[in-house]
Amino acid sequence: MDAVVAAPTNASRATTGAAIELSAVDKTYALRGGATCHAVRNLSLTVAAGEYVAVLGKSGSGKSTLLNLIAGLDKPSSGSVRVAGTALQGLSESAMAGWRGRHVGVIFQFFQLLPTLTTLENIMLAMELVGRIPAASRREQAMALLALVGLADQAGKLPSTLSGGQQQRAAIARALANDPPVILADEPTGNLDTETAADINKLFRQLAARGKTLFVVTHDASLAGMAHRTIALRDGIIIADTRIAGAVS
Amino acid sequence: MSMRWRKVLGDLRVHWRQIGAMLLVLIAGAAGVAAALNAQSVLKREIAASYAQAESPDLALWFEAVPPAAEAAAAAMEGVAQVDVRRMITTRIAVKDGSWLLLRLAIVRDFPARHTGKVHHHGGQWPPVDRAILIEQSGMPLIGAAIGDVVQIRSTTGESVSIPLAGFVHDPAVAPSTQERMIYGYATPQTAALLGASPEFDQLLVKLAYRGSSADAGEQGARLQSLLATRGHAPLRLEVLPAAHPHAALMGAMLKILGVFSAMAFACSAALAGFMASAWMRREVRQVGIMKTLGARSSQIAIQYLALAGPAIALAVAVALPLGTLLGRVIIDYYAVSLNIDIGSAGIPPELLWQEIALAVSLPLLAVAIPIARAARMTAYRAIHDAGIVPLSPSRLLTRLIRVPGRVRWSLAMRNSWRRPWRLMIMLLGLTAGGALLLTTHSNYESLIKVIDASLANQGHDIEVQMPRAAPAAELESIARGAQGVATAEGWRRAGVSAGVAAGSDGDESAPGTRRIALTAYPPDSKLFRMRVVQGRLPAAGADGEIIITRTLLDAYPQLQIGRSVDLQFRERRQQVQVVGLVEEIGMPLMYTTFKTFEAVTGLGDSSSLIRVKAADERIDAVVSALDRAFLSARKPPAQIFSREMLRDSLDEHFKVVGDVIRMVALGAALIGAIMLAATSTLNVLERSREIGILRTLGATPRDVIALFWAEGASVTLLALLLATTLSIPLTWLLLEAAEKRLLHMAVPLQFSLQGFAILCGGMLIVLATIQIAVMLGMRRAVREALAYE
Repeated sequence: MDAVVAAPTNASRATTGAAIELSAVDKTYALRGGATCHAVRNLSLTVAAGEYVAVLGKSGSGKSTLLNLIAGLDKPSSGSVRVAGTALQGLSESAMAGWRGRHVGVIFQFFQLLPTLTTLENIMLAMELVGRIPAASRREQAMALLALVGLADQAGKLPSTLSGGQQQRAAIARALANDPPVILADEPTGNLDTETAADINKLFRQLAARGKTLFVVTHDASLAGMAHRTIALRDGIIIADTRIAGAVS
Repeated sequence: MSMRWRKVLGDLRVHWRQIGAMLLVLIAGAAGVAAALNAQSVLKREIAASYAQAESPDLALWFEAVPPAAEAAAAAMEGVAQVDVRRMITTRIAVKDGSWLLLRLAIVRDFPARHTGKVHHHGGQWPPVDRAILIEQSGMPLIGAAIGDVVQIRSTTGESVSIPLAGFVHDPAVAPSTQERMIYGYATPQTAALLGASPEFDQLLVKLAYRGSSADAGEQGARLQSLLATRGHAPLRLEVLPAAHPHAALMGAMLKILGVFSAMAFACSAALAGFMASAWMRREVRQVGIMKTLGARSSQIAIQYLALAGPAIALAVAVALPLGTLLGRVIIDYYAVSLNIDIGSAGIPPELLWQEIALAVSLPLLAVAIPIARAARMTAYRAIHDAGIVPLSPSRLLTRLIRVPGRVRWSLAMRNSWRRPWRLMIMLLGLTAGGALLLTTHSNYESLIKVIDASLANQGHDIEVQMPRAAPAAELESIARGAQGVATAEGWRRAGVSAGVAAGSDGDESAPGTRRIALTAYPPDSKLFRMRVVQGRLPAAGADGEIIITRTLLDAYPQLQIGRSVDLQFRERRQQVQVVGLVEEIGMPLMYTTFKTFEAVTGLGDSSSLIRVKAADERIDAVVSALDRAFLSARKPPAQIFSREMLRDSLDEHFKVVGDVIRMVALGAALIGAIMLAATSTLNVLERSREIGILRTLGATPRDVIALFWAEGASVTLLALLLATTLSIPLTWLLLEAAEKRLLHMAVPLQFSLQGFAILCGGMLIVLATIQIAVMLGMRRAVREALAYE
């Protein structure tokens, strides 16, 4: 299993030190009645490969928009986004999907596991869609990921039979399915109790220690406390960018 | 206005597209139901009323010429409601394609004062002037003549006589000319004289005050016959006429089909409305949670959403009922033409209207209420924390069972198909019913036509020439052989006899005794008698008193079993014969025998009234014309020339009428299923927008997602195809069994229609294409929007 997450992959090594680069990014949304909402304003940001970044901010500060832009789930109104060595502007929907599957793992607040697939199948589907891992070894690798998150014994179960914490760990395993260099998480502990949230924290620390670039949007102070760096947003602008020495180690 | 109602209006403003779509579905469903129910109600009433209007006679007493005293005596007899007289002339009329069709000409004494066998004015002169003719309106497309034109009719001596077409009438007691390949004409005795026929009336028609069974009518007829005999006016024979429209069975079947269609249309539209409400409530779940958090009770929330659905349903019903009435009129008009019935009134009973309103309101309301109640009863916590992915927990057993080897995505697609079992079932029901009916129609038609073609090909003869009066067989054969394209011609003998099961037998003697049956005799060493005996044996050569019967005759008179003795009466002669075999032949009920037995029964000597011909030429029509010309040249005009193509065409028309109606219903059912499948796919895309977002976040390309939904649709479609194909086999078998017993009177092996299957596959491909379009439209939403979709 360690082979999957232990060392930075080719993709992450291919970057020139920066896993995420945003340059003068603006994002506006048109509202009903002709008004616009400025979600992100002239934002520039660089995250080094292997860095663990926590993004903090009040509701409406632009955290989720920022995460969506980095994941290629949304497109900037202006400026450029470069993740894992790839400039995202100009990628077609299909190219973007393929890129995302290979380079980014996304973890949601509400887990979002597919209810008709077992835990194991949820992970294998992510592998299958990207096609990076040979079909013959998918089951073995998916089981290894489940073992990593402590769910090896839940492999054949449907998500509806798992607890919230188990579902989130399964979602983390799924995010790691294709060994992406960048992991993006949107309030990953927001829907979990304190004890379970601590388990997830622990898992994130392990990932960071193994060279994954983590970009986590959170309100959870303990999760943010584990990051190398915290970024505070307000009204789409970075108001604080703090590096925490030795936070993870 | 309270805030809750403001929210209702706000929802209406925001969700107008979805509510509008639900409205359209409800309108389509309710209009379809109203159309089918209205049509069924009106047709049921009008079919009966139309036939009753004709005042069809129950008995016909035949004379050389009906004495006025006999008419008066019959009218005075107890149990007799009406009497009238007529003469039926069977001749031929030139139709627009240049051929001569059979003309059944009723010679009537006084058109406006007719008591029985009534016809109604349809256009032109009424009553008709002397030396002119009225034609039954269903023959209009065949004769291609307008009022005032002259039509050509064969006289009894074969000459073509020009008779003015005075107008058209509607005779609601006959089947359409287009199906029967026969024209019905009506004229005065002067027109009969013009055609060389006797202007005297030879049938005394009796309408009984109460018509019981055929046997009861026969008993009353026999009493009348005796009464007239004692008064010195003995009729030549008595005939009990059928008490039902010739297409009564067809009409009954069509009404049943309409009933099934209305039920299906209604159930499907209500289910679809329910699905749409379900999808709508999926979006509203979080709002439900918010309202509950604010203190709203489940009942308040349910009422609020029902307040939005209720007026939509009421509006749908208000639009659908007039639309359904219009559509119903179209169906009624179609049936009126294909069944040749009069529609006196297209009005529906008020209670039916109330029933339709009650049904159209209550069923969709119930269907919509279920998802609303389900959402309203959700706990506030669950509603607020709804994750967006449809949280239905699929059955674990199903998850274990549905495991497609290889790629996980196909397991996902298959399991998703079964995620909503009720929705799947209804969708499958619509598609399967439509597909099965469509395939059944085709298989049924092909099976029937195949057996007809095989049967006609096995017939020894291609053409039958019926003569108005008997003539020496050798002379008629010689004339026929002189016609171009004739390979073989044989003079057969035919006479109408009355049959009764011999005394001492345990059968019902009266029924067959009152109906005329054609006794046909084939010559010794006949080359054209090739019928296969399916039971018993052929009459032994030289044997006296042996007959074989067709299955058509046996089905009409089950007492004529093999081995039974039958009394055959021809004029004053009575002869006992024995049934020794059973043959299968398409056409009229017949008895076959040898010349020797025929002579013993009829004593007609060496005279023939029937020539059977084998054509050397492939163009049977040309041989028919050549025969016609040959007999006319020899001043022996035929009463009728009937080829096997004509018989096939006539049967084909009958099958098409039934087939068209079933096909219409099949298309309706398949359309409902297809709309449901396409709508469900669209709803699936809407409901599972967040799931799509997740898949795309995981790296699925739009093509991957479309492929998943397409696979879901394809699995349902293929399952429906399989079920439809399987179901069509017993359905076809049932229909063929009915056709065997009631129409063809011969075994009809099931023929699976490859053409029908190809059409079905084509239809399924269209459905899949619709799904693809629905999914592609749904995929236009950006991943971010899909993930945020509520």
